[in-house]
Amino acid sequence: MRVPFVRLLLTLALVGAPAAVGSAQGRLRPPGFVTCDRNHLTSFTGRVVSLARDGDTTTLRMETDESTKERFILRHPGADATAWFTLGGIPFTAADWTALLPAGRLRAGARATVWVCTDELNPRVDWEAHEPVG
Amino acid sequence: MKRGVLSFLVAGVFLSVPAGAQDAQPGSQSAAAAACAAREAFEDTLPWTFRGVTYPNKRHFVENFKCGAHKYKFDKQSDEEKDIAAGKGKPGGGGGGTPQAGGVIDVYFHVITSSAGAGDVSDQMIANQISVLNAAYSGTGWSFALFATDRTANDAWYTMSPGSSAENDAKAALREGTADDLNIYSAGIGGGLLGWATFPSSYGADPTDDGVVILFSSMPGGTAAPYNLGDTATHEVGHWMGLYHTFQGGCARNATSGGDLVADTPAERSPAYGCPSGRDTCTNLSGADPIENFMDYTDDSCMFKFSSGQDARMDLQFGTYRYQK
Repeated sequence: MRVPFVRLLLTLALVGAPAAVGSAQGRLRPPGFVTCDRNHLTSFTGRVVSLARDGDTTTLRMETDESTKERFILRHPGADATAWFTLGGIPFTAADWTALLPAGRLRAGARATVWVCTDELNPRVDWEAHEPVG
Repeated sequence: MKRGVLSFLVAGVFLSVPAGAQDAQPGSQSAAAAACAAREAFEDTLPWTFRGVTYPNKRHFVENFKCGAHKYKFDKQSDEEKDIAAGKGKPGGGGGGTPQAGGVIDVYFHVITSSAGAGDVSDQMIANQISVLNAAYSGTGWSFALFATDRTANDAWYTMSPGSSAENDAKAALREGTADDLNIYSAGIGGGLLGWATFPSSYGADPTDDGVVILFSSMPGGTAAPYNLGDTATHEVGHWMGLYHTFQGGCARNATSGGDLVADTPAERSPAYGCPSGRDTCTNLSGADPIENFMDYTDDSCMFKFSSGQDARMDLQFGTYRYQK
């Protein structure tokens, strides 16, 4: 387990100190679109503070509900990150992009859960549906 | 609710006990006590409803008020013992109040279903859920007693999410008790959540919001395998008692406390799922990930313990923010 997690740490970087904790915490279960072995799975939930595409990669930065700051890099040669995004568990659409990035900037307050299978290339980003991104 | 109940009981005492009973001779007290016992023995056999809430029986409702017992059976500690308990609290941990080393917490269980009846759970499942809680917390000094159950069919509330108007409405309508009473709401919550809970420190600012929400199918015998052994409630009640996730703060740690403000739960980079063997995500810090801890995200069958530091933090948080608040 330790070896794949080293790969995860190459992709994710803890870049800051803990921040404040909210007024509630909960418990998640893996959604159906996450198909890897649960023993190789982890997740990060929180506020997405930036989303930037640079060619074949998209970088997402998050301030998690557990007071960490994370950076996720998605690699998507020849495409965008749509295949790795869901909205409330439902596959992402072009309209969702427009809502997520009005005027080309990430909508304020956007939240997501990033599911990371430590033996897979890319994490999957599930944007919160009940707090509309558009 | 407590004030209302007390008012009711005061009225009840004056209605059922002769005037001047408080000054009566021992023989009169004995007769009154016998009458009280006889009445309660009969009432104990019947479900009982007060202010729209059905209780298992009237004895359960009144025994902590009317016949001299205390509602909360917290351990009686000397000041010295309290100091000792405070001393074992986790550094940076609780909140600066006086710890409560344990006690019996009354549980108001609110079953929220859809209008079609989805999400209904049986009384047996609720009893089993309480048993799971009591087993999980057996080493902490805390236990849970079902005080009342109510059932509400409401499609909006059934699918509530954290912070939603549906959640606010449901809790405003259903919540009972004070800071040291546990309100559990079972519903068909979505968003991949098994449950959520408020912290003790949040009670003062928003008492109506206080409580635990769980996915109904996470209860013992439910269909949410591998999360159907009842430990979602265990986990959420842990939050309600003041505990953070074991992965709070990731690998951030100082000499005396982890990100969860509990020193004896090893730091963990991020939540574990399943039941991984040998997971150690903070390799620069001692201790493997606490995957067996109720405050991680592993399968119900994988989690089975609270640490002594978590126990101490619960005591201090409860004493600071909940006890007699």
